[in-house]
Amino acid sequence: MKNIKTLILIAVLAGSTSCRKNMLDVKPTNLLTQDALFSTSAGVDAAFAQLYADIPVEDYNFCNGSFGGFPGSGNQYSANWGDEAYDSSNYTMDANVFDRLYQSLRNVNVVIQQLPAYASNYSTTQMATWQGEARFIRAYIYFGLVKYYGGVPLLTTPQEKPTALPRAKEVEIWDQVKTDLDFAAANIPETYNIYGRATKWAALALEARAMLHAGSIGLFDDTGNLQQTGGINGVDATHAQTYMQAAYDAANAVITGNKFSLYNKYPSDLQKNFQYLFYDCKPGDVNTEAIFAKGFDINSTTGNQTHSQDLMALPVAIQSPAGYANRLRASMDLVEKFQNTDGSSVVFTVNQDYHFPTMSAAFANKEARFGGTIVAPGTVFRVYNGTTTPAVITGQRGVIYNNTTYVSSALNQYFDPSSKKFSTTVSQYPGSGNSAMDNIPFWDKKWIDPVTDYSLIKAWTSRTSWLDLRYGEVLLDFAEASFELGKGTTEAMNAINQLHARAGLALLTTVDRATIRHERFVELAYENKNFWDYIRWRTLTKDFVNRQQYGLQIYYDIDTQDWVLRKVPGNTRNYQAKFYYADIPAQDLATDPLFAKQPNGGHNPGY
Amino acid sequence: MRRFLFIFLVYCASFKLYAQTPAVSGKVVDQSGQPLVGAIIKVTGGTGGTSADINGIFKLNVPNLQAHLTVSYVGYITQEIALDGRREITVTLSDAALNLNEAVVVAYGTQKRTSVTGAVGTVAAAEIRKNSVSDITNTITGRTPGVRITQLSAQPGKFDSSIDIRGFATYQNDGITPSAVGGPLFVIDGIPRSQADFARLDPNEIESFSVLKDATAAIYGLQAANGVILVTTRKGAAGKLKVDYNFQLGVARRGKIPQLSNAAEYTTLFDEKQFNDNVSGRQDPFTPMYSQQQIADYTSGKLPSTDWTAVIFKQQNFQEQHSLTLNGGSDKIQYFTSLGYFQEGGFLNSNIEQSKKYNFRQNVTATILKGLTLEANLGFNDVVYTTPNTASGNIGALAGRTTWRYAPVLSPYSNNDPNYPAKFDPAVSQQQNLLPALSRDLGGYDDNNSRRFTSVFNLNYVVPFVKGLTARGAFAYDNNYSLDQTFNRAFNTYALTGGAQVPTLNNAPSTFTERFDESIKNDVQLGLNYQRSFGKHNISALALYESVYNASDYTQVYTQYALDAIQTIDAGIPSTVKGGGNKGSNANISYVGKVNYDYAGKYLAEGGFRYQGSSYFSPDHRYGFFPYGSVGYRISEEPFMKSIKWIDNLKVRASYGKLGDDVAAAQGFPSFLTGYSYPASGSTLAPGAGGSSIGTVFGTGGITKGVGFTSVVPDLTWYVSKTTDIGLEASFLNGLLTFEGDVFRRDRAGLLAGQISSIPGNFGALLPKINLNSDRTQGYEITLGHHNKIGEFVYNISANMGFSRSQWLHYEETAPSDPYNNYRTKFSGRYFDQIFGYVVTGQFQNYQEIYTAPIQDGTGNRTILPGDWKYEDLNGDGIIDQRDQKVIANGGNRPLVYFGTTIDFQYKNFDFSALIQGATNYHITYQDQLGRPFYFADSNPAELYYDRWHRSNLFDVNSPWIPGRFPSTGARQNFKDIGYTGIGNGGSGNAANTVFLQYGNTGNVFDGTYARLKQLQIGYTLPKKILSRLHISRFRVFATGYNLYTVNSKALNFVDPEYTDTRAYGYNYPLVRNYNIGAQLTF
Repeated sequence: MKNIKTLILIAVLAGSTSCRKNMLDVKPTNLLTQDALFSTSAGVDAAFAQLYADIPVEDYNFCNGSFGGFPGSGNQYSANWGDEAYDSSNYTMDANVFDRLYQSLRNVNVVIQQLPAYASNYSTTQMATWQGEARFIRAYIYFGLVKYYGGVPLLTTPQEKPTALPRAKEVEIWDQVKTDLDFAAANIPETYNIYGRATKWAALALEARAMLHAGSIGLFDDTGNLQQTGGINGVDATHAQTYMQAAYDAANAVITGNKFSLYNKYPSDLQKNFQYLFYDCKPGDVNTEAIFAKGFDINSTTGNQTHSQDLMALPVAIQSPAGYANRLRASMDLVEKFQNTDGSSVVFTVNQDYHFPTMSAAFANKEARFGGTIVAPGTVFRVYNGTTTPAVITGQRGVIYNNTTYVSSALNQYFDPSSKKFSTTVSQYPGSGNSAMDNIPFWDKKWIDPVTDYSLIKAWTSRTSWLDLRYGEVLLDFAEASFELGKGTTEAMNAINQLHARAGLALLTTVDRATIRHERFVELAYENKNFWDYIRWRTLTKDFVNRQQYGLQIYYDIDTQDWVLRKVPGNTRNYQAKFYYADIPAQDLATDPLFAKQPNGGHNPGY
Repeated sequence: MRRFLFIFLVYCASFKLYAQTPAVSGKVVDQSGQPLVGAIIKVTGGTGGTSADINGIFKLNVPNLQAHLTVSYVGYITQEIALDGRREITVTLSDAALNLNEAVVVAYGTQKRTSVTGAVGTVAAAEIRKNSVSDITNTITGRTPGVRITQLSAQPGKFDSSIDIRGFATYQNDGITPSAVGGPLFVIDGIPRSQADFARLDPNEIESFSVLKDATAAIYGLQAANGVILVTTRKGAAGKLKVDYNFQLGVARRGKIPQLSNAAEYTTLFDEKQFNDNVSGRQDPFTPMYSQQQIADYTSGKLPSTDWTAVIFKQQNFQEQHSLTLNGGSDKIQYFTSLGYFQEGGFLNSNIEQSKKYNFRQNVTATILKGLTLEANLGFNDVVYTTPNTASGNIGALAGRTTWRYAPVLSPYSNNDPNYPAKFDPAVSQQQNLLPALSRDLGGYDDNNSRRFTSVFNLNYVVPFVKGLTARGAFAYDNNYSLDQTFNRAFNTYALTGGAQVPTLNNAPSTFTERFDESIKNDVQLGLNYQRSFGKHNISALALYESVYNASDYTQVYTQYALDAIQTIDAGIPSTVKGGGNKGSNANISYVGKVNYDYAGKYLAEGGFRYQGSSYFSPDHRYGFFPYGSVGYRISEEPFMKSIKWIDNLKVRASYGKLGDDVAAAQGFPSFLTGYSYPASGSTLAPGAGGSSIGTVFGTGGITKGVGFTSVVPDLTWYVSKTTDIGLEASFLNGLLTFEGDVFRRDRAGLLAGQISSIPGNFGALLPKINLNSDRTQGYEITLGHHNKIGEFVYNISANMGFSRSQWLHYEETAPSDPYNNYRTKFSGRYFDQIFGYVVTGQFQNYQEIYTAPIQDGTGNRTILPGDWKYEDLNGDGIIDQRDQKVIANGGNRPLVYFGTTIDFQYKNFDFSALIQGATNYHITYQDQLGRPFYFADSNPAELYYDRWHRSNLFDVNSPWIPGRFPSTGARQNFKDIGYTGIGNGGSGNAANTVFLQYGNTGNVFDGTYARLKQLQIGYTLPKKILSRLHISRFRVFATGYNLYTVNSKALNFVDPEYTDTRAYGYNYPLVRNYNIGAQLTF
């Protein structure tokens, strides 16, 4: 009996301790070793998938100076920073961007440093391509950093341990961008072409964009930053020339490479053609103009790699059942930049009434890019309410009766002249529109998914891709670089006229700096480029001094039985010279003691 | 049920009876001579036992007539009687209020109350059984000091309560859903388990509930730094089968939710807002949204007003609770079996919302061989609940935020036809009408079934030859699994357009998600106990080895439907089927030692340690050593004190110890391993966003998943806290008055923080968090008791309160840039609960006053209107800005003071008990739409805001102002009224993103003090004479209520005050108030 008890105890003791010796060495279920990652191409692809996800592409999810945010609380897309959209938000950079870009930078530097150890696993071409892609990614990150902050610490390898570094000169960063992109263009083979990944041409197109930015600063900066900061902000004249030439060469290489042409899938409907340029850029689409696109997950049903553009930007009349809408509406300033097809411009006098037989008649003669970019009042856009009839979007504000203006306070109202009241009772006098009754009857159309039923639109369900580098932009970069290098006007004019032809707009017979710049505003509207143009031309402080933005009011005139359009003043906006750069975030100033020893205590000028 | 009983009785009858030696008989009575039915009589140190019958009579076989008997009864003091050769005895037990010798469950054993040297709180099982809510956590509320419980909602099946001990939890407040990071450790039947395991227990299966609040908890190692809650389940007692049946039936009434404006008030306030916006914004005047006629029609009732809270919520629901326990056995084997059932409905106006809980327990104690006993405790519970599906999947949000944005001018149905739920006019509301989502047929469902199985097998062996030595082996195996099926069905809302009901599709497409979770735990304990007395020296010691292994995994499958009539994954659109899943495990190993010593019950000492290793740490930092010690001195036992008759007991005690917590590492695991996480959990540039990238779209194959470039923190280790407690216990005049008081302090070091002050941003790694920050929590607790008996009237009053406050000792942060910055943003040295805000000196009476006042809107006070808050210009610079904020109150996560009072009395066959509970030293402000009318353009203001400044004629901008309690509605520039909670005390570690709690201004900070009648029970026990004929030994009927009456600050009449700031928005499922009647039957 006693033996049995002893046996039981021994068995329990032995059994429980022997099998538990190593129980604390629990293996994690989500960790790859360095070898597991880099020794297979699937692993390297996974590394690149993360690197590409973290390049600072200013796409749908870039708002309020932050990447990846949900713009639900307001209208903080960067289009609202300038004069593209009607809103009062000023330029801001989220302080975290600095650290996050350095995290991305560290990651790409890790890949650049570690990959060569696995060279024996891959072909030489493969290794060169990957190194080229990594350099493209690093250039993109530095372009982001230098664009927001000017000169920043320069690192081309991952730091072993945390070390304070001084801010480099701005031109050192631009040089690094140039070096990396030249390397990428030289090492990625022409035949390498995977959607979502950098190609030789993407490297060149990015180089044209970046070098144009750098060169412009050198040519136009009159803030005195360069001298005041000892080169931490600003580009000197010598470098300006080099960068402009680099922009010219890179753009020229893309053009003469003859791999791309302007998208022209719907030649009989130029408006649709321009609209669909920004839709037909999904994986698998044939788009002759797309050089580099950021894919959103067209097959996603779970909210990964998606955005909310449609939820945010649709007019109220066709808004999602989940709400929102109206977050990206064009100012009258932008609308007036689009010319009529004959090249004439229409600019309304403020607070004067213009009569038109229909609401949309005022915009009927505009070039194709207007209708491709903007939903104008009185025009149809997308099918509506489960029917097959496209919706007419109206932005009527009220009526004019006996020379008195009556403003409605609700959508879809009619006006009763006898009681001078608005109501829902159907009558011959439309009282208000089906979308917005304020001063902004224009909505973004570029980038809006023209297909998906609006009832399916919710937060983080939009999956249209972002066309980041396109041939049209390269032509504009080329035109500007050529002009600024003093190569005459013919090259520039020919490049721009290709865009005019595609837009059904009268060809130019001459160009100057103003026409070249104007072309960028209309061609690149809502592509998050125009604000940076103001920055690099250093015109932000000139064009936005008590700058009045304008809106448009639409009334039905019961006396004359037609429509009255009245341009009205809106927000006033001011920018100071300090907004040419965002300040280095306080936390980074505090943690890097070397910054404090630099001019202005490491702050950017004006802070 | 009957069939089960039959089987069970056969099972009980089959226990073998062993031959027995000398029998003793006797009677157990209380002080008034009444028999104590069911009193338990055991041979001291032996295994056999029996219970007293209906007349208090028992018979028991004893080894010899020199044996000692232990006699116990719930609520009475356990007595040990020496037989001294007697064969017949009468035992008189006295009432537990005087219970100096009451046994208290402490770590790995029990101890006499008088010899306990740590701060241990207890709640009698009888108190817990007064429970009338499904989550038993809520029955502990207010019953013992230092245990702070908040019921967060009464949502069926959610067990939505939070619990902490002395404020020793770390909360991360991310707005609406705070997450407790590390609460107390729950030890049920000796095995570490989860709060969920505790919350779902049936009250009738609980034997004891104790709380280790001080350093003595160190013996439990892991997480014990936040205190330990010890629960044991009931054991069988030898004797005749005793059957108890209890039931309760009742009505649950919905707790407080804000009273919203009706259509007349809403339209008036809305128009005023439009006028004020225009005046403030200097815009063109325009026709207001609602005409004078419309407002008049809403006022007269000609136009309908919808009370949306009444549409979305029910006022009440029903609940039902049954419990059956069987208890009995022989001296060789004893069993306890219990079956429980709890069913309750919810408060949403839904046909499907309800929860059912089934509990089953079988505890058996058997003597296998002489000196060798086996104890097997098997528990099982199953919670089945259904909630309606909503777009967000968040009922709480629907209950609060969304409903409160439905304007009363909107109708639930288009053209008032219940077949057509209305699509809201977008000019009035940007919300979806979620009324259809409440119906299973229209909106879908969320069905959840979660099952928990727990088991412990204990083998005890009295080691021969060494007196007082026992060996113990235990093995526990738990298995939890839950299945959740969520069906989101697309539904139509309608708008009458041109005579036709035009549909709009909502929540499209229809989707179905099925998720299966499973977790297992096993725990092995091997130990030795030694207990012996040498003269007046009493010694007990314990040595123990324990290893615990936990593993969990889940799988989830999702699909969309073209045809949604059948909800299975197979019926989905194949291209939309997506799966997900993950798994993980952890383990720990410990070596435990403990020694107790007392000399003549006068000088007491206890010391112990736990040496514990956790798989969360790197091998180099794996083990931690957590020692503690405590001493006690019973002054009342000194000879010179014995003469003072009115002192029954006087004891001082103190404890100190070092405790550990691995919760930090659990979050960062496997932070000590080098490598790359795969798949990456997010993107650097889109951290945490809903559309976060987990990779990039390459080619046409969709997303290529990315890897995370992780940073390594090899040195990550335990939080270490040092806890000190000093206590005084006293009892006077035979228990007429009792007192217990404690002061405590816990200093915690090694809290995780980002190394922001030392690592430049250009390093580019994810700023690994290391053990850097430190904090301190300190406070005191007092319990006062009064027990008396006047004739047949016996009563007990016990009042307790606890105060606890926390502060940062070191907080890793960058140096403040100037003295104001230092005052405003520096955390180090600060209390967690400080709230910054503006000081309101009154309301502006007229424009004259506005124009001469300091500028507060940044635009020359042009946007300010009479009635607006007037702020004090603290720095006198003529501008009201952030620099005019100061500490205006204390708030944050929890009130600093919690208190509770229990009152019990008994008169003849009547009994009564009440619990009054409350909290104070706390302020709250309401946010979003509760903090300001029309915070969202489409929200419906709380009716409270109708008492506002307004023009005498709404439609005449120049008419005179009429004062009110609140400012008038409408936008101003730079509002300074809404508070927000910063990081609370979560220690996110990134000072750049952190701010102190800011609550707007003193005008909208409300005192959060409340007191409520938490529990009330009145019972009547039928006289025995009547019952004996029915073969019923006890029959009691009772009525009970929960959350019956609440007193709180008038200003705070928005939402239930118990929410506290962890649900500050009030965007929450309501609490419950219930009334039950029931009966207890013992056969």
